Amino acid sequence: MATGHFFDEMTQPDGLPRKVYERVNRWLASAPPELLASRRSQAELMFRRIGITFNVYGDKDASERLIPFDIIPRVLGRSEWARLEAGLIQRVKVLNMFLADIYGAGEVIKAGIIPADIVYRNPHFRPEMAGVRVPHDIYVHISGIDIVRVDDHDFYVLEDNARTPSGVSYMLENREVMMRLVPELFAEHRVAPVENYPDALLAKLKSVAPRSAGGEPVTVLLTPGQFNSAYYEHSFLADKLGVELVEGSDLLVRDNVVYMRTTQGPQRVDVIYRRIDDDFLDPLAFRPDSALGVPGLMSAYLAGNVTLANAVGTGIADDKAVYTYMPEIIKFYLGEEPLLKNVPTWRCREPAALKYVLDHLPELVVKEVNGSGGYGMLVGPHATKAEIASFAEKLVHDPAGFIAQPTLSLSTCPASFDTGIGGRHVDLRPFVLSGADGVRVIPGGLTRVALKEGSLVVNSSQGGGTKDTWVIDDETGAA
Amino acid sequence: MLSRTADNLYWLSRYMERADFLARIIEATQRLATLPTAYGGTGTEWESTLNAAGALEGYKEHMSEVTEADAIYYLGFDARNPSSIRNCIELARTNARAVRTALTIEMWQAINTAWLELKRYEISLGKPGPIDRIELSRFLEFVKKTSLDFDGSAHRTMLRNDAHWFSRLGLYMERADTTARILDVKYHVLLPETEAVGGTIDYFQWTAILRAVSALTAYHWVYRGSVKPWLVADLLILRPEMPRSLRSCYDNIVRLLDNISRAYGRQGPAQRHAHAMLARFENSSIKDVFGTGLHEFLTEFVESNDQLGSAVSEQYLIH
Amino acid sequence: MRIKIRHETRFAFDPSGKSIIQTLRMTPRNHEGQRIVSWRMDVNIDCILRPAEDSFGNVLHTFSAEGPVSGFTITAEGEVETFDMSGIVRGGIERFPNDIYLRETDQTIADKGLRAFALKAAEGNEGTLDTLHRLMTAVHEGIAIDPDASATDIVPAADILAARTGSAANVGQVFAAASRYLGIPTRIIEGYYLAGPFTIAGGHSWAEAFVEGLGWIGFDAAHDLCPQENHVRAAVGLDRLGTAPVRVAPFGGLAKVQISLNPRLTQSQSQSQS
Repeated sequence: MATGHFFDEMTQPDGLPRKVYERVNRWLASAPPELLASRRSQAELMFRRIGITFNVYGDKDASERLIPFDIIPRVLGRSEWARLEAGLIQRVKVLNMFLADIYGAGEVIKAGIIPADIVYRNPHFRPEMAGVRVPHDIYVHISGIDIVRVDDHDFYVLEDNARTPSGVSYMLENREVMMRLVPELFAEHRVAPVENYPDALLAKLKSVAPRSAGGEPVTVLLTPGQFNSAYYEHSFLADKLGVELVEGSDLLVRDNVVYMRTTQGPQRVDVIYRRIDDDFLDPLAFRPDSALGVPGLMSAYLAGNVTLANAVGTGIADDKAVYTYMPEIIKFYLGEEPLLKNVPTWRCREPAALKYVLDHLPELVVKEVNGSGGYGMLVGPHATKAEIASFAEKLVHDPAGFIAQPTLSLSTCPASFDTGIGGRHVDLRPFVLSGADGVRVIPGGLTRVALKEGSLVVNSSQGGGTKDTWVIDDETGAA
Repeated sequence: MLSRTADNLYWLSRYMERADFLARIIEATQRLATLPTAYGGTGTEWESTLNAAGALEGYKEHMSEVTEADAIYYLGFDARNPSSIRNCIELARTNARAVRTALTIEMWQAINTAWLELKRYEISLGKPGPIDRIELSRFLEFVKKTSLDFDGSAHRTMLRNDAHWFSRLGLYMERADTTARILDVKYHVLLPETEAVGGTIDYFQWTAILRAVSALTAYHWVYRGSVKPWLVADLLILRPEMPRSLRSCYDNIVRLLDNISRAYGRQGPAQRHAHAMLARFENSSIKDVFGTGLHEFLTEFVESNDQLGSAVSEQYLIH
Repeated sequence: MRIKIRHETRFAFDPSGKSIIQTLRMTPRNHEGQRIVSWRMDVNIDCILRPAEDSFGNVLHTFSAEGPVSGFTITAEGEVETFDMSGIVRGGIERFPNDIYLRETDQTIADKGLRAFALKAAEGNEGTLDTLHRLMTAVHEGIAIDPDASATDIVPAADILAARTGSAANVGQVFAAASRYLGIPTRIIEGYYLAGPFTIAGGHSWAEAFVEGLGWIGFDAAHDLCPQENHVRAAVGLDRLGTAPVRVAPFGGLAKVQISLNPRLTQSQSQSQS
């Protein structure tokens, strides 16, 4: 099952399983194909059942739109996880320090670590937040850091998601389904639990409540509404958190205090876990045409009467241009070496880098720094000559608008199909929570898998699926 | 709870109940319309039904004449009719989806399954033209069963708190409204002038009404006699033991509003209005009703019930 | 020069609103070119008016009132002493590095037309200051001021340029977009302009650009001049959305429409029958 030059999570180049996968490997080897097939269809059934809610939103024929789930877990040993966890904590701490700094004194810019224009000319830098203090200097309460690995040692950060990262509901549902699906595998492992995520999240949210909040801060989850593609996750989380799922029209601001409209009249709200982008939060402060937001919310926020999680303006921290400076930024704030690596990146704004990129376009992935959704993206190895030529023109025209990265050899992990078991490329999005009492990582996360053979694209819109992610005690794997 | 949540729950129940009413009234009308003239067929049954369903004006905007096929299409599937059965189920689901977490799984499944099933019927019945009668009767059964499913799952699985009360409140408000409307159909299907009230023709018509609200057996149990108009009206208006009578609906409405006001420690115009209406039922006899004129009584009731709806909205749902 | 200003903004709603909330930026502050002698804000209904300072240093009032609200008038009134600084603005509140004023916002997108316009205006220039003057004249000559267009409607620069016409208050954004495209930090100012001895044009807007060695200089392309004594600055920002004297949101309250059956049981049927 070893797949040539790619690092496989389960199988070593010598054909033997890696230690953490020994039991999974044995289980796979002993399980007759019919058993795996029946588990696969069982899984599908379970997701469809819970999934009546998963998939129907926003699409009339959505019964087909379940995100495929693979029944072979992604396994990480306790010790590799510990390394990853330390790196995530370091990274997220710095994201918060960076935000507090650029919206405050701007030391990192004055020290020449990052060019001023990358911050101030960036549309994700929100001038509205300058000089604003947020509770405990926490800006990124919830983040999902996209991680890939290319060997058994290093973890690379592909992207820091510091705005409104999604996917955590899959992490929780995948575990639920797996526990029912393969109890025999669970019996052989000690798998770190993830189901306390909602409790941990709620505790973090309450820890950053404004001072003026009462003894038991009222928390709500703000959704753009049922037509948003992540609405299922919003309602799922609100349910698990035991908080109201509100839309903008459920909230009102009176004298710089936020209230929700209840059957018993207005009730004060202290903490808003918002899943609405900055642009739509408040038509009086941002896009005036937003019908999703709450007029006056920013005034209440700036007056310190409500906490928004994540804070406004965190988009600057996960910006692609800022990303390239993260290693230096980490050193600047902590005086430590970064524990997680950045994917090597060429900043096309630098003439030498631009020259290299132009010379090597067919092997590189070029991304637009402020782009999203892969619009302004070139995947060199998959592009035609004409595409490369026209992209080169764009690059020359606006070099500062682009970065380039090598095509990564993402690790593979076995996945189960009707045709048998095959290695498929995976990434990992662990979820990291920050609050008054520090940073916490939930052991596990969302493993996304490119189900098409050879594909490196894990996005669900392009044939990607998910896996349950296990962090297991090393001993059980070794036994 | 959030006003919007209460609003969604309340309307969700109303739409489900309305879909049920429309299915029943279509069935009853089909029955009436098949009666030969000698037995009461007047040829105006569908117009009466459209009228009772509050849909006549809208119908006339889109259709040139009243035919059975067009009327059934309009009441059942026409997207242009805001309260067609199709739209009711869709609206119910839209409301349900918005409060997914306030529903039990059973309630959600009842609605969502119905919504998915509806698509199948839209293919077979969802266009104007000749009707497949077998398919239609399957469809009407399906609608009634859906409402039963939803009702039953709400009753069996929902926590007894304000969410439940608002949900049930919607159901009884709509049920009261539609019961009055069903009775009013009968009023509109006028008797030939020569026919004495209580004659053979009348018998078939009133029986159809009773059958439509599944109350024929109940009638015999309560009155132990043949079907008489004032007794049918008595059963569906004043009898507290008849589950869909106006009186029974208001017993429930008052109880639910009182539950809410006790839990919230405050009462308002909705409670006062509902108490006044219940008192009226308690103090009226069927003679009083017919003295006012049945149609006049029902007209006034529907309006007053509608005012209660506004009061509930103002007080709890959209403030 | 002493300028007396009275700025009234009226709102009328039909049907009346359940509640209203707005943000107001209409309070000028001191700098070397202007001194506030007196200033007050008033709204003629029961309301809450909370002052704060936004991140650019503008005075920001959040105004909220519970309904029913059928209408009201906001009055900003006072006296300001102005001094001729030849357009140069000094001693004001500066919170951001100049880089932020190079940012392209939704209001100041330099589309193809705007880029061509900017490059043409700057052709043959002799330095930044000269470029700015050429640009001001180009905007002034290239865009017809529509006296009927509302000063409070905010229109993106590219749209104004494409239409070649707009309100006096909106041409400033064209200037800013072009000047930023040319790499000159530029910002939008909202304030008052004394057009004649007795005329205050309420809600005027112009631009300020940064020239190395001189600092911030005002450019009022609508009138083809640099502000001297006739302009009173009330707010500064990246574009007019950030400086608007009044930001309005739709009414609060839930606007969900649920459908009841028509509560009128008509008699049409029985009448046609009898």
